Amino acid sequence: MMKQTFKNTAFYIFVAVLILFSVFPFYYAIITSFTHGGALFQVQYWPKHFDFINYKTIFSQDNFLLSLVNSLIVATITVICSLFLGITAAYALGRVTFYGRTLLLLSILAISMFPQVAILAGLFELIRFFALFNTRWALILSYTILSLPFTVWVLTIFMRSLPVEIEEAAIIDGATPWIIITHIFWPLLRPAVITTGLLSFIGAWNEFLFALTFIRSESLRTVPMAIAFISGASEHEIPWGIIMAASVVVTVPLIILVLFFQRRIIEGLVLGGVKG
Amino acid sequence: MAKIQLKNLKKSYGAIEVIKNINLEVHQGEFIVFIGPSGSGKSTLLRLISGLGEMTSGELLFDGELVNNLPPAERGIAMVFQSYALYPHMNVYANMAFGMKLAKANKEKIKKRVLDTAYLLQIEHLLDRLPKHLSGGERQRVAIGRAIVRNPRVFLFDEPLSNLDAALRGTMRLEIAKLHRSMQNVTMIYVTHDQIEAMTLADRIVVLRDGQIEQVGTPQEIYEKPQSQFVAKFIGNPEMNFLTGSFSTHLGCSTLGIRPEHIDIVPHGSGVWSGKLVHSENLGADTYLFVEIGADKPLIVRQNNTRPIPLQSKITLNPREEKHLYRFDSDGKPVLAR
Repeated sequence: MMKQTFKNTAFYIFVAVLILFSVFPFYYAIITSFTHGGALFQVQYWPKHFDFINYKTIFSQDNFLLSLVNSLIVATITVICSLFLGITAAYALGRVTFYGRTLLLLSILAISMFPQVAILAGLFELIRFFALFNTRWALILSYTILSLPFTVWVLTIFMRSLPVEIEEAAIIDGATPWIIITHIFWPLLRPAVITTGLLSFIGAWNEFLFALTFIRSESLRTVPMAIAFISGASEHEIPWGIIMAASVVVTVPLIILVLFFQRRIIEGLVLGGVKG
Repeated sequence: MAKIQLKNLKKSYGAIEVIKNINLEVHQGEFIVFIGPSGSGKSTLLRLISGLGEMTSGELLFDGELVNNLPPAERGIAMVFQSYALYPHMNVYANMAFGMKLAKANKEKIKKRVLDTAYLLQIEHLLDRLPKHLSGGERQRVAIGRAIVRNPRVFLFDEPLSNLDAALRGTMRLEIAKLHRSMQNVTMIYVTHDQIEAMTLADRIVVLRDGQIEQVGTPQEIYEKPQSQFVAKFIGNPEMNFLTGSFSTHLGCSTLGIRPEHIDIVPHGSGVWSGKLVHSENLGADTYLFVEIGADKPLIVRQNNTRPIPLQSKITLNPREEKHLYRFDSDGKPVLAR
C-alpha cells in the first residue's frame, strides 16, 4: 500500500517536472508580455499587474497586422500544396508498383535530413530562375519543398496500412484513381492528413531563414521576420515586452488550430483502428 | 447472365508461372467453384476474370466478347471479398449505393435498388449503420448486397465465408445457395478451399493444382470419378485411404484408393484386409476407426451407428463394392479397365 502511494507520488512529481520544464518558457513569455518599462528587468514568477500596453502597441502597427496576413496566406497555401502533392504522391508510392519505388522513397527520406542552410543557395537560384524573388510564392515554394518529404513519408506509410481490398472494391465499383483518392482514401487518411497538414502549417508559420533570405519588402514580411525586426526607441533598447506580446499573439492561432483538430485526430484514429 | 470463356489463360510473375494455360467454359447461369490448396492459383484466376489482375497471355470472353482490356467496372462483374472490404467511413446504404452513384444513375433509381436488395437480404434495419457496428455475418451480407446492387453479369466470390465462424458459415452457405436459385441466369464463380462449400454450392467444381486445372465436373463426378489421385485425395473427408505395394500390385496399379465410407467390417476370414484397431474418433453420428493393416498409414474406416469396438481388437475389413476401389498408376492417373 505504502509502496503504491509512493509510486503514484513519484509518477506525478515526474509529470509535474516535465510539464513545468516544457511550459515554463511560454509562461514566462506571457508574463513578460504584460509588463513594460523597468519592471521588465525584475525577475518575477507571478503576474503582478496586467498591462495591455504592449498589445496595444503591436496592434497599432500596420506592418505587424500585415505580416499576420502574409503568414496566414503563405502557410495556408503551403498546406494545400503539400497535402495535394503529398496525398497523390503517397498513392503512387504506397499503391502503384513501379520500377525504382523503394529508391525514390529512400531518397525522399534522405532529402529531409539535409539542414535548411544546405539547400539555401540552390533554392535561391531556383527562385531567381522562376522570377519569384521577393514574392509570397517564393516562400510557398520553399516551404512546400521543406514539408513535402515528411508529408509524403508519413502518408505513404499510412496509405500502405489501408487494406488493398477496399481499393479493389472501389475499382470494381467503377472508381477512377482520383475518385479513390478523394472518396475513399481522403476520409480514411484524415487523421494522418490532419497531422501532417498541421505540422506543415506550423513549419511554414514559424519559418525564419528562408523568409529572411527571399523577402525584401517590408510589406511581404511574415510573422517571425516582423517580430525579429521589431525595434525599440533607441538602438540600445530591445523591446522585450512588445516582442513577447507579438510572440503570444502569433502562437495563439496555432494553439487554437491544434485544439480544434485534436478531436478530429482522435476520432479518425478510432475509425482507422477498426477492421472494415 | 453471361457465358464466360477462358482460352489459354496464362499469368506469370517474372519467371514464376502461377497460371499455366487454363481453358474453361463457364455456362450462363452456372455456379462454378474453384477449389484447390493454397498456392494453386484459384484466387489469381478469379482476379484475372475480375480484371483486378492482368493476364500474361490468353483470351477472356464474356458472351463471346473479348474483355481482356476492359477495366473491371466495365466487365459487368461484382465481387465479394474475404475481408468484406466495406468502405469503413460510409454507412450501409452509402456502401451499397456507391457503385451506382459513380455510374451516375438517378437518385430514385438508386434508392429503389438499394432498398429492394436490402429487403432481399433482410438488412433493411442496418442501412444507416457504419460497418464497424455490424457483426461479421452482417458485414458479409452487406458486401453481398453491394454486389447485387450493381446488377452484374457475373458474381465473383473470393473465399467469402472464411472469416466467419463455423455456425455462421453454414447459415451463409445456405443463403448463397438460395440467392443463386433466386437470381436465375446470373453466373457465379466462387473460390474456396472448403470442400463442403464446393460440394454443396457448385453446379460444377474446378479443381486447381499448381496453376492448372486438375479436373472439372459436377460435385458427384468429382467425388465418384476423380481423374487423378490428387483430386481423389483432395475431395472427401476424412480423406481417401491410399494403399501401395503388395496391397495394390495384385490389382494392377501402383496405388489403390478407397474412401473410409466404403469399407465394411466383416466377420473374420471373409475380408480382404485385417488388422488391429489402434485409434477411434467418435463424432456422434459417425465413428472413424483407424486400423493398422500393415500399410504405411492406418486405414481409416467410417462407420455409423456401430457399437463401440475396444481398442487393440482385431478387425477384418472388406470394400463394400468393387466400383469403390480407385486404381491409380505411378503418375497418379487412374488405371482404366483391367
